[in-house]
Amino acid sequence: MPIETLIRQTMSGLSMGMVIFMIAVGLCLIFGTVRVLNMAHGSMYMVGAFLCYWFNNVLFQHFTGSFWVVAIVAPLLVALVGLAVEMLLFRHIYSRDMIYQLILTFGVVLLIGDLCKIIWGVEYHLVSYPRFLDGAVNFLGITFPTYNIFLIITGVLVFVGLWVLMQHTRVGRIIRAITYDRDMVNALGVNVRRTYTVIFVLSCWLAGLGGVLTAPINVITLGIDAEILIECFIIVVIGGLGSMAGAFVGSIIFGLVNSFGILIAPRLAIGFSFLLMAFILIIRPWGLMGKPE
Amino acid sequence: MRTIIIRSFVFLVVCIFACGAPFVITAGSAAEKEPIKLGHVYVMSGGAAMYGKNSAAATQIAIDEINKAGGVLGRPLEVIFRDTKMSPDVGVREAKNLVLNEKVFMLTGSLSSGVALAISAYAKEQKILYFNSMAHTPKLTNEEGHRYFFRWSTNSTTQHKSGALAAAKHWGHKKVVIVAPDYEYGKSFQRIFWKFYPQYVPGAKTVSEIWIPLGTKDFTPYITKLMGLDTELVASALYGGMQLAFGKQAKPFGLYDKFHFYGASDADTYALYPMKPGDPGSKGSLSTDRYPSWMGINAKSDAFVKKFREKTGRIPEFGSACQYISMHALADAIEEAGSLDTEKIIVALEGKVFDTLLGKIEMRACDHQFQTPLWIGIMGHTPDYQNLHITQRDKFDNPYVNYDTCEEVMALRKK
Repeated sequence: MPIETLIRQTMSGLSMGMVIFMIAVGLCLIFGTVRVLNMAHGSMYMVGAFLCYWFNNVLFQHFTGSFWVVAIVAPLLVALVGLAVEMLLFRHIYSRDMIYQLILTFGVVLLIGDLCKIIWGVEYHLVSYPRFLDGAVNFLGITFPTYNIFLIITGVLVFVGLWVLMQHTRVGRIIRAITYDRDMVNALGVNVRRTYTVIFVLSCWLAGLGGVLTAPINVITLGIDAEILIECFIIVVIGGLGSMAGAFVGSIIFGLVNSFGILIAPRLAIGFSFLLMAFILIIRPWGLMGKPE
Repeated sequence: MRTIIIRSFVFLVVCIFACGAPFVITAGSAAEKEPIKLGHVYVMSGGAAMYGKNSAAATQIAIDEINKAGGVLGRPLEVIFRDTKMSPDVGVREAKNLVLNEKVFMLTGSLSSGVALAISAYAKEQKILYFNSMAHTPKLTNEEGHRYFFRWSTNSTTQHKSGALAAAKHWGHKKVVIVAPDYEYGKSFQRIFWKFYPQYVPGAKTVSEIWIPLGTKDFTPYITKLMGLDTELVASALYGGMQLAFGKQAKPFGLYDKFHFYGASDADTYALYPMKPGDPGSKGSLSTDRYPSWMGINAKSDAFVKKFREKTGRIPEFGSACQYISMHALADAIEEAGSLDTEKIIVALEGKVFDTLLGKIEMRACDHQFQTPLWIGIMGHTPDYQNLHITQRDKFDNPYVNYDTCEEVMALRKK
């Protein structure tokens, strides 16, 4: 294999991995800690993407630099939507069977999907690359888009930021404690209920951020919520429930398997993610960095 | 005395009713001319909802025009809309419901070739007319074609044969990479394009075939793979949302500068409408536009585009245009047949040349394939139109309506 091909596929694998990591990490957080099967995670991502389109192309189309404003504002708005959903709906089902969570979150998916249809219509929407990140860079004999490099860097920053949050802040310690032993945390006088809300809102913020930052490389339309959800679940399962590091490593492996897989066994492309998931579950049923239960 | 007054009163009331009744009865039936019901089965939800909604809008525009002009055989047309959810099972279920419960006279619709084939089989069994204006598999008019099915749009044969001829004439490259979505449409593209391209460019070779699973959103690994290949032409069957995403992601890599590109469904105007002038995309590539509405094909087309935009705020795509044509053609055929006798209507449709918004086009009798044209050209920007579109059209229309001949169709049906 020529060295350029190796570099190209590695870069595209990393790009693909970091893109999916940014979107999936929120689900990893909510599924791993609060154990809620949040089907509406994809919907939050979709709302983030639609907001990016709306602000950039409709509301503030004459302002340059609007993309960066959106990148800050839109995830906060998605977090607010998440807050409303959590307070009105989700908090009543934490203790219930998972089947109730499935049905409720599925209902939210349909609701948000139709609201998006009403507000933004059924057609395709595109968002331009932000001005300073348009174009490509040349290195090591290949050409690679600037924006994809930006996404790789952002993915790493998101991971580092979350790691710092989890390891070095009080909120992070509480979240990790809840994962281990919720009742003990409750007994120690921590408001577990409120922490759940914080986790949920944070996970929605992450989904919204993923939606905004990946908007320029995607087509924004109905149906992207469902499409992204399966990949998110695969990443969460591969990485190990609740393990952010696992999701990070798992995403990189996911990206590289896809990018090199299409060189070696292209007709299997449709099955790469599932084959990878099956393989990891066979050798490590609790995921790459999960805890055996 | 009172009895006489009451009896007289009753008699009077009865007389009034008796005199008035005939007027009431005729007035009632004149106002309630029973409508002719049509069933529209299309995908109306999910990622492909736009196509279904566009077709529904185009159908409604046509129906409104027909009804305004007095309807058909003095009766108004009425359409019932159902969602196939892009599933053959759901599509056939809705079709059955429309035929058996709603008693529709005919069925129309479906984007997906899979759904269309299933509904067509049902229509054949029920001996009921089924019109399709979007699904592209040649099977619908070839192997699985039958008397009751009529296709109003182009099909994959003409689309890809014309494309092969255009790519051969334009560049004549010998090294080709095929990029196609990994399902029936992509496979038929590869089959048909590669059947004809080596005939037009002797010595041409497929350097690689890149099959992309449906639902792929991140094309980056495929693009990097492409960048490393030793080829001259990339022939792609990506369309709609896939093509938009691919184009966005590929442009910064310089893919369109490194290779020559042929896009089988690239330039379809409606899909490119969301792009802003100067947005990245497949500039310089050879592409097909099946309904270049911006071109000002004729007055009918301009009028249709205007109504469609007023109704939906969107640009109509070729499916909508063909759907609109098919509804007017149906109305004309019923009038000519003088009744709702399906057999007579089929006779009225076969071989007829319709004067439509795409020009004067024949509904071919042997296989019920409307001889719809398509336009091929090099993608670029011009001052008069905001989006990337085909420029330098180079007479790539009439000689390129390369449908299978009637002999070829009959041979396929015999197998």
